[in-house]
Amino acid sequence: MSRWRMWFWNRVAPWVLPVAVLVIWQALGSAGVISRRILPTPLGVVDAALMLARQGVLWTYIATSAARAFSGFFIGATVGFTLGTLNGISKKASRLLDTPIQMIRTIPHLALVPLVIVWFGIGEQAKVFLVALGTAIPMYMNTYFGIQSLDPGLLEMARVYRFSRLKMFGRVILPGALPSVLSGVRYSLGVMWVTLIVAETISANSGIGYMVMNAQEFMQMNIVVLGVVLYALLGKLSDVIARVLETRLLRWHPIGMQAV
Amino acid sequence: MAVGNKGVSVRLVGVQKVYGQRVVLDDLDLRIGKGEFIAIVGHSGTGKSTLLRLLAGLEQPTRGDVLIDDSPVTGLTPTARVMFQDARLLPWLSVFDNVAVVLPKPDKLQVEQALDRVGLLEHRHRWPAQLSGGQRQRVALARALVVRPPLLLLDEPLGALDALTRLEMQSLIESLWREERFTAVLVTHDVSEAVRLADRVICIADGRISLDLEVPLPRPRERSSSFLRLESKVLATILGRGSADDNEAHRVGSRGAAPMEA
Repeated sequence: MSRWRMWFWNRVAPWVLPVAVLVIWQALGSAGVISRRILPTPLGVVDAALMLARQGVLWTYIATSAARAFSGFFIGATVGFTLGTLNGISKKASRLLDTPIQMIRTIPHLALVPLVIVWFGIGEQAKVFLVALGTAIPMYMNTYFGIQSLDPGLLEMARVYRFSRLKMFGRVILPGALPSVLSGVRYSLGVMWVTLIVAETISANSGIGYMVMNAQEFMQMNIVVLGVVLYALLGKLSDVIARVLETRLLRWHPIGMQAV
Repeated sequence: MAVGNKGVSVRLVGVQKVYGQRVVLDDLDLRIGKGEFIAIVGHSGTGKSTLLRLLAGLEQPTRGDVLIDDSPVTGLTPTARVMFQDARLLPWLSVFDNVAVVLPKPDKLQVEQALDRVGLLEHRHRWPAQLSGGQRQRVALARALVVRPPLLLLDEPLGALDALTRLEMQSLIESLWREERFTAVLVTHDVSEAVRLADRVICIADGRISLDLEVPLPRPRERSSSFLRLESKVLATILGRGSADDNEAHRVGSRGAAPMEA
């Protein structure tokens, strides 16, 4: 294959369909085939973004939503990781804690929205709590699983060589569980956005969700679609962060090595 | 940590090891002199690896005593280092760090010397996944020898290697043993490996020693007629036949051998 063709298939081809869809969508909108009351045109969405950016509210909304998402994630991931590590290392702890955690896991955490609103009102805590709850579970599962599926041969080797507890954890258990922990991070980041979107849509007085709900009341469909686009971009951003973490931290991994 | 150049003496007195209903080792007595190289051969499941694990202190005998330099072993044997069938390197550490990690205080020179002795100094910055099976076992050997242990326990360390690499590794182990004079106990399926490396070849059958054979050949050993005679004697014992003139394969139990015996 010639270089030009290689370049086309590697770099251009994945964008052909999305761009085509945008162009057709814009054309149909401009021609009046699709009513703007139902679906705004792509340029209309860009207009909305520029307008809100000029007013400065766009950045405030994004910052508010991101702050909620990441503080919830930070709390949830820390709790999930700590419990997963504890149960992975200590048999007694897992006997005590694993069953109740597994029971909580089966509850869809979004089902708790009405309860959470009663507990925390519609303030920040409610959203942070829901995100933390939602992200803690996959972090716990993956950390626990990662430690449980460590190679027993390596643990025995570390025993023969008399690794201290600290060395055992830092050099054997933690790095061994890391691939699984990182897939937990990636999964949790996904849960984080879904939870936040639901929580903000139900009740908020700032943030992207608030912006969307507000726009819906006034039938500003271009702002509604802008909200959806923003969530997609933020979701993509957190996926990129997870990917970077994986290639950075798993350089030793046969799969990671090919990526470098 | 007891560290030194000289090997230790090992003594097993009336050792019995029972797993559930199964008697794996029964009333076993064995003496290994300082700096001696012992090979233990036998079918899978005869308790060869169990014996090694008792010497390492990874298991405790049901009855009897394991004495290292005349003091009984309780818990892990501090003077022993073990090389397993698989290298058991930490995949997330470089070759250098895999050796350095077993030292209480990492010493660059000491680690590099150990890697140099196994001929892997130039690969010190690689990941284990980038090495061949033989190279990985050499890192494991460097890791085992970096503290110059008085007792080296080898649990079929060459079983998974191809024939040529295995020969290279045998020479390497022999030359390191001759330089450092540690006591070595090798568990193997490969009778000719046992005869090539060991001062004494010991066969275990039904939990007891069925043969304890001196190998009085000069080193490095060639496959001379006396070599072959000793080899067939060991084979005959393992196969449970009086006649030594059997043209059976020289490697016993290599098919379907379990990687780790009970």
